[in-house]
Amino acid sequence: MSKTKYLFASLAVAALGVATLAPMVAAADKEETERPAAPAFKVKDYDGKERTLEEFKGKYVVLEWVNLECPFVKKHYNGSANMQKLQKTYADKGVVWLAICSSAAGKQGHLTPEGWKTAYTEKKMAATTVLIDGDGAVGKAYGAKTTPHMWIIGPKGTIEYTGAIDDDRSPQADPAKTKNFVAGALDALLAGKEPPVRETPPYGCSVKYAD
Amino acid sequence: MVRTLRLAMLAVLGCGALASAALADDAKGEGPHLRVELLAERAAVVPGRDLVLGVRFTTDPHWHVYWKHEGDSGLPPSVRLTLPAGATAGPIEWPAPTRFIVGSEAGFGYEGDVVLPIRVRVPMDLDADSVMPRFVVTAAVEWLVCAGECIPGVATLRLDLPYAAEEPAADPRVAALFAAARDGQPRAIPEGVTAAARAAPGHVDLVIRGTGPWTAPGATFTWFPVTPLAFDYPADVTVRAEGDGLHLRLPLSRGRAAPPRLDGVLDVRDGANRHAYTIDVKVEGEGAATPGAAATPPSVAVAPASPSPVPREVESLWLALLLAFAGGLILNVMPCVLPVISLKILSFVQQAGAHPEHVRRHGYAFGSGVLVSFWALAGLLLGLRAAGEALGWGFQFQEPGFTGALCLLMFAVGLNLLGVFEIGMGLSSRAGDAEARGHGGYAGSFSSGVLATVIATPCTAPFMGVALGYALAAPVLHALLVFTALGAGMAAPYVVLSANPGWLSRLPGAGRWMETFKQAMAFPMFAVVVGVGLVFGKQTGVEGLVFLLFALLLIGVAAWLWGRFGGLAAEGMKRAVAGRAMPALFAIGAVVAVVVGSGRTQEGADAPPEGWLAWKPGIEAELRAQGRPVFVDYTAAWCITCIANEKAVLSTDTVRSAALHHGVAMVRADWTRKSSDIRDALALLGRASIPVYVVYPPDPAAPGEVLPTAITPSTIVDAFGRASGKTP
Repeated sequence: MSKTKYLFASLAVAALGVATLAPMVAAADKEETERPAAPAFKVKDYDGKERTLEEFKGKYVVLEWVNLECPFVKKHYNGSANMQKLQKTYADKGVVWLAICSSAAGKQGHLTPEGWKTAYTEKKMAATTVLIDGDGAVGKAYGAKTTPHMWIIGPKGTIEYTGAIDDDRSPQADPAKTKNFVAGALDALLAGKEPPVRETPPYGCSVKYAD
Repeated sequence: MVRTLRLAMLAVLGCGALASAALADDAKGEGPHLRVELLAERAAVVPGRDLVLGVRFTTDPHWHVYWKHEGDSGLPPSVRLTLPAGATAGPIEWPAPTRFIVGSEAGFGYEGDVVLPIRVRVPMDLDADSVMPRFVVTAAVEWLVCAGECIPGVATLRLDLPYAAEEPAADPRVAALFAAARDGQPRAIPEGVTAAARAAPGHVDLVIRGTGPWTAPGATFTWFPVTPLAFDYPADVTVRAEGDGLHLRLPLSRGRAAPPRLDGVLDVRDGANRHAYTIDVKVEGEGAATPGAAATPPSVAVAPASPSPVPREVESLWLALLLAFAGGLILNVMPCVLPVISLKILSFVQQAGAHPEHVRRHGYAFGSGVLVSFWALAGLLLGLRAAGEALGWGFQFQEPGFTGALCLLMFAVGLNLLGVFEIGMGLSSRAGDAEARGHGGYAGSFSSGVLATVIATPCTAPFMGVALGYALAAPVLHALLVFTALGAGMAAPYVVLSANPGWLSRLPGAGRWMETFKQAMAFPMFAVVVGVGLVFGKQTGVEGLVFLLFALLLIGVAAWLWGRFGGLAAEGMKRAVAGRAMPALFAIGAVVAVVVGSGRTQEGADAPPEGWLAWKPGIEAELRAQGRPVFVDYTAAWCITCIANEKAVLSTDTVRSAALHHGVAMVRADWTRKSSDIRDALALLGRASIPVYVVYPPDPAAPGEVLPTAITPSTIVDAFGRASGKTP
């Protein structure tokens, strides 16, 4: 049996496999629409280092709009330490977690780089870094409406999830008892599955952009 | 004893009531920048008469609380009422809000003084055993008050009202507050005025026909959507008058498609006068419900009303055509066809005296023969399908006897392909005979094309199976196209090779590899067994499935005996007993096992998935009596169209959220197993086969609407809108 025959036979077998599997594939839900691209950014972090979305290519990136004085953010940081736990859990799984503050100077939630360093230690944050978006350029590029407003960006720079962090909007809710959309989506994505939901309406305080 | 206890309790409660009366501020609470109060429109409760409660917020200047949709950020207040047994509370009747803009964001809510009314139904017959001498209401209120920064708050408020036979006169202070709350309620568009919405690039065009405050010169408009995410809240509504009415341009957020419905409150200001109207109309036009467009990022400049992407059906048609062509090509390397090819081409060459032009023509003639036979086959199938549909095609899959037999047959074919046993040898040699007899001219080539197709048929079952399945499920035109592609695939090598006879030498010859290939083909057959076995298992349960597996075992033994002792090489007696009689016995055993297994037919249906109710006779009437529109999905595990529709349409977010929005009860009638109830229900609808989709409006007198079988999310969403009566 010559090489050509082998090649021919294996091609035929492969084609046969495809032909058999095709109806199943066709029947499977083909919800795989192209994901929209996440806007690129260049912004300094609390170490004064310039960070871009590009540098995290190949990894899942979470963007968390933060304002530590907003009651909705406090709900996730103080007492429950829910946000810190999420940051830690997914950092351990290789997810890049970027907290980003778009509060303008003089507005609620604005902190200097030094202030953020202190806050990071005090709150025992586990985010990869804190991005300081004082002019709101990144916030506006993404259309960040609230704190906390969350994004999950895929390894290819596509938006995989955007919206609320969980399903209980009340500032009195216990985040340990809510359904966390970000955790749900990340777990699914890391397991190579479709996230249960791609977008939810964000909730929280308004982002304190410059006037 | 019991009586004494109850008296004691009454005494205690009486004291309690006195104590609470002393604490008059119980109904009031406060937080930073905000005071809150629980009000009752009347100071006493009359059994059988509705009581209107109100939660009143008073904020400091520039601070606000939120409407039911907060806008870009914020949080609507929530009220959790605890009422005496038997009393029930309606929803908060939200007065029309105002809009406050902060930078590039906008919020919807109330500044200053607002009363949120809640209507409470008080039963006529209050629990006779009740020891409560008064009507006590507690309200757990949560709010968020914002002015740039936000402060959340909670309060538990309590009202303690006496019962009375007649409604007392209202306290004028309270009456004025409730009157204001009533004035602030959005109203329905007046009789004779129509509103229609149409999606346009970047906005929704709301057209109002008829005169009213909106036609006053200098009237200004604010749009308060209920649907989150779609609209650009801080952007202003622009207006222009045209021949067909007043056009209001409601701006969409960057990159957002128009929602399927326009649902919200339109606020019209004419000088100092304020009018608010409830709008809930379907949005007409392309891209109104483009699924997946929801997460488009703002930075990507996508026209929001861009036409929807290529429909799924067309995509799958292209895939099917490609596969069919590939399948047709592969037909040529099947063990019973490949030997024919070289012979065939060589005969073309001989007949045409090696004249290239003639060889080519013979190739075309042969190719046409193949194509025509595939068309004939498609026509036959479609004819059968049409006849089958008249007879209720697909119903045989309800019979576990049929699905079980199909499993046995497919399993046997698989074993045959593996070479465990062999039957029907010599089709290929017959092809050789046909060749040897020789055919003159192009007509001969044409008819040998037909013959090749016919001869190929036994080896082509797996591919034909796929195409057949498609032909039975797809629209007629699609089915014809698929068969054409299949035929073209099979004819392609002849046409190509007859044009280039030189390439013949490069073709692999017959050999062991073909046997390998044939054996590999057994596995798709086994996959079919698994798939059909699943349906059988659903119909008969675990025990039935075990009988089927046992039947497969027996068939396996029968096939092995046949192959081992039934060959020509075996001796007479041995062949007759071990090679013929015993396999026959085992095969009969297998059939008996399937028959017994089929007897375990289960009644009823599996529990429907989450969010669905299981159908039962009369469930439509029950749900409609509750004032809900009802959607019924008649489906079955063996109905491919049903499952495809469920996956691609019914379980999409668009449909699910529309069902929630319209309060539609989703009911699934599962016909995987036989059910005379479902058959009768379908007969009443004038249908004999599934899928069938029916939408019923809540009004029990109104007829149901049977939807077309080919559904899309928007046909379903539209039908929900019509049924819920929220269309203009």
